[in-house]
Amino acid sequence: MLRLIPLFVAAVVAALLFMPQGAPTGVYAMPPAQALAILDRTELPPSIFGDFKPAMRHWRPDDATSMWAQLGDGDIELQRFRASLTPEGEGVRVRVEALPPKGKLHDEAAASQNADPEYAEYLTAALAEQIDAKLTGRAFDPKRLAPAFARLQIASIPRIRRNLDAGAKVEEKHTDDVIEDAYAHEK
Amino acid sequence: MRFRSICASVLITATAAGCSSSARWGHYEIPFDEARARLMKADIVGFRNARQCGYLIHFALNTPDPQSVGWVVTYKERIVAKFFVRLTPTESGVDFDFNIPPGQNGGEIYDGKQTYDYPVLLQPLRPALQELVDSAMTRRPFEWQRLQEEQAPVYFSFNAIDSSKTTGTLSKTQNSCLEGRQGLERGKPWSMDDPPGFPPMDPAWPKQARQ
Repeated sequence: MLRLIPLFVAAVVAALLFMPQGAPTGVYAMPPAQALAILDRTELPPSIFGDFKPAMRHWRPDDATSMWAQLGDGDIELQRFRASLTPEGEGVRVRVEALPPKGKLHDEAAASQNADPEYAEYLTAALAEQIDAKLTGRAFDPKRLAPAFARLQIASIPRIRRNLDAGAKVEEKHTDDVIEDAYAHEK
Repeated sequence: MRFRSICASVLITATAAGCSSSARWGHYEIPFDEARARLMKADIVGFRNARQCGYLIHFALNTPDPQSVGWVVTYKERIVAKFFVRLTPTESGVDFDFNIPPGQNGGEIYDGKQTYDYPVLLQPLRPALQELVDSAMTRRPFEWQRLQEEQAPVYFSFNAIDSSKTTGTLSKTQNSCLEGRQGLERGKPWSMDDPPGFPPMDPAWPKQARQ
């Protein structure tokens, strides 16, 4: 039986890494209007978005959508999130997704989100967990972000590697320059 | 269970041994003249920058016969090392081997077991020469990163040395090479006019301190 543990761990890791990545959704036993009212009071989770009280703006463009914008210095938009609500039976389905910000960071953020989608997915998962916690009346549980966090970490490895390699090349070039300079001034 | 583990280990070892013998280094399917021409254009400056200790050494190309390409290493016009790459034409290309002079402690110079008052090159030399030949044959710069750590356990790279692992295990020669190298990397090359293992004396120091 013990011999199966590594296999089990590998299966769990594989499941975490390769599970399909749609937008996080949840179905809740309440009318859409009640869910929307709760979402109006839902903030971006502070432990994930950095500050004790993350700078954000919330608005409701229509009766089926709730929007958040994470704000940076000068209230510049850093990221947008949309929660779409659709009736499902006697309840409501809430679907959360990340959108590029409006404003001068739009193009850069959109490109970054396309190139490294795992970070936006992680933030989306965090907001979805916050929403799930609020709609089910429980506390935000960061442990539930473990799969998204694991994917973010795995996806970061090549970038970290690239940065390290680039740093090593710069250092090596500097060393070569110093040595060449020593030869140039050889007595 | 235990028997199966032993069988598996034997099988893996045998397979590995078979693979390593078939992957013998030293053969390139390149015409002899082309291989020789590439070797003469080898990135010897890259090799020097990656493998020298703290002294400003110079490499002079030396081709004593048509089947040898080598370099004589000098410090202030004094020969401090030399080595040659031998090229043997075969039906399918060229075989490479090295002609490295014998060292004082047996073996060859800079084979990893030699001691020097004024070391000029990282030890061991052979894996680095293999990379020099490989880089020349594939027409790319010398890349110390390609050296396998197990082939060059201590002097894998000056930059890659983990002092926490090597402290206390480096020989005096190795230490001297490393410290000299650190001086060179700060733009303060060492001099063979100084006592062995000592950095350059600052002329501003009192005369007694310099003696």
